Amino acid sequence: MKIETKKQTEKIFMIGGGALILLFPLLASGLQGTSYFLTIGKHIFLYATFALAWDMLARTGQVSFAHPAFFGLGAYFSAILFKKYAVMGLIPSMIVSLILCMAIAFALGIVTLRLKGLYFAIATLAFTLVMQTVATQLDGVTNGTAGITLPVILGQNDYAIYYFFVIFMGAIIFLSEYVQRSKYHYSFTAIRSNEEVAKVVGIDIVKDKVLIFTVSSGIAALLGMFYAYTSNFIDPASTFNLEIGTMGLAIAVLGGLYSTIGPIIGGFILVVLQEVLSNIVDTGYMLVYGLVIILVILFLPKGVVGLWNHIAEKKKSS
Amino acid sequence: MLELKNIDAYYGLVQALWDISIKVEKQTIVSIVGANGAGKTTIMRIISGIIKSKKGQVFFDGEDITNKESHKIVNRGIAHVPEGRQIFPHMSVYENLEMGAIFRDEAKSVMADTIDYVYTLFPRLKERTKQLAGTMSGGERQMLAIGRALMAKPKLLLIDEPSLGLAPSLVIDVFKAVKEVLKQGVTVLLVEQNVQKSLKLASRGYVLDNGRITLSGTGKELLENPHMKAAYLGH
Repeated sequence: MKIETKKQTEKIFMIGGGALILLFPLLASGLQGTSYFLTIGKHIFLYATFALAWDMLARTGQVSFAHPAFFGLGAYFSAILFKKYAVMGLIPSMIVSLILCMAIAFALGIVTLRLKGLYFAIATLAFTLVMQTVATQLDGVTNGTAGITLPVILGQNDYAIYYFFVIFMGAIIFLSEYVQRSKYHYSFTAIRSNEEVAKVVGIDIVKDKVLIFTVSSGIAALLGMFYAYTSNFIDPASTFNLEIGTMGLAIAVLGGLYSTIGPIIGGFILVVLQEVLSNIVDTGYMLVYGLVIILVILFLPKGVVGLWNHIAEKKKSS
Repeated sequence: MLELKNIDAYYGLVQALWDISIKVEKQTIVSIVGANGAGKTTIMRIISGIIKSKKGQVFFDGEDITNKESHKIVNRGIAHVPEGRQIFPHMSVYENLEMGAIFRDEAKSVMADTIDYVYTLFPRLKERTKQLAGTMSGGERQMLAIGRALMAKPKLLLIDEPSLGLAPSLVIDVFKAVKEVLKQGVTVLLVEQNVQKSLKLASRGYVLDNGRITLSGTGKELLENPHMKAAYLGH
């Protein structure tokens, strides 16, 4: 019964949410400041997709802080190849950047995924901090804190950018759902639950963890590139940004861990909340924002999705 | 079928096993008995590849499987029921059983039949097929842990302390199931603190004391051994 209500919840959200996302630009076009609303939409999809990628790794019980590093590396590899040295076109530079990032993630994964829990989290945190320093100090290649100015893709059209991020989020939702229905779902859940038992049921835990770490980090790298080419400008502070990482984590926890829909809902709520709060509470909105997150984590340990399922079950049984 | 030759094992710098040699013949039950902390579980973990041995070799079906990765060992047909009834608590009984078969190709293709077999062996599990495993009693969890291992269609089953913390009537059920498994052609290596029960069941037994094998023989011989009687059987 529990599984049924969960499926129903997801269906309602998928269809309702999907329609809203697709039609929103039409509604927004009537409003003043259309561009502002579309940009918020872009941010929602960017963060939600980032959180979903992060969650796919979290399903194996690994909390990674390396995702901001790959977000930054993705943006910088492509920007350096395409803009700074202009050695190749935009698309080839993105492909090369993705390959480089996934290769680095693979190598980092092999080294760090032997560590568990907190130790893995610290190692990945260190990686992000080191990469940020490298990007800042290696100014001959990266321009340092001066950053790199980039052209904006899709003709700077806010509608096109909005739908571009929607499509990418859709692709990652499909990937996540594919994983949830595959053998990997069993593998990840087993690894998260108990690594030793996962081994004795025949799971190659190192292989599976490195695989999802590489894929998940690759998605972060792609998002970094998309961010770079829709923002006009990148610098180390905005790309190798730990806040993106903690935001991704907060979104996944708020929405509901280990599900596809959780990070998507969480992304919507947190980005909108951040926007609304920054408009209402002029200064110190981060304080209120932080408080809301703490309250949610304290009282909704299973996130919004967990709350929804709980209500749906109560209704059914009463 | 299984042979350990002069195994030494360490946890960090601390040596846990000294010169362990054990032989398990096909379609028999072999029992390793000994006190808490004697190294029984360590032997099991060496065989299933969870920890590596510093010295010595493990042979299975004539092949050297020493220090191979655990998923490869499972694939060769050794299933391990770890100590402490470790099931996946947030999954249903059925999903736990699936988990045992999914990662071994040979087992996956006959999964439905094996589940039926496990359900006849442990009817309690069938009644609770949709229940979350974490909400079951200790005895039911032990049955599930054994069931999950059987799902891999093993040639050799390693069972670590199945009777630990179980009510006497459940201990009888579990030992009955072990006998039943043997009838199906599965070889069993059993580790137990319940010396009397496990040696009665076993065709061969080894006594482990502080990481060393101090005695071995048929189950009957060991039960009648004066040293055994004094040290373990309370006579």
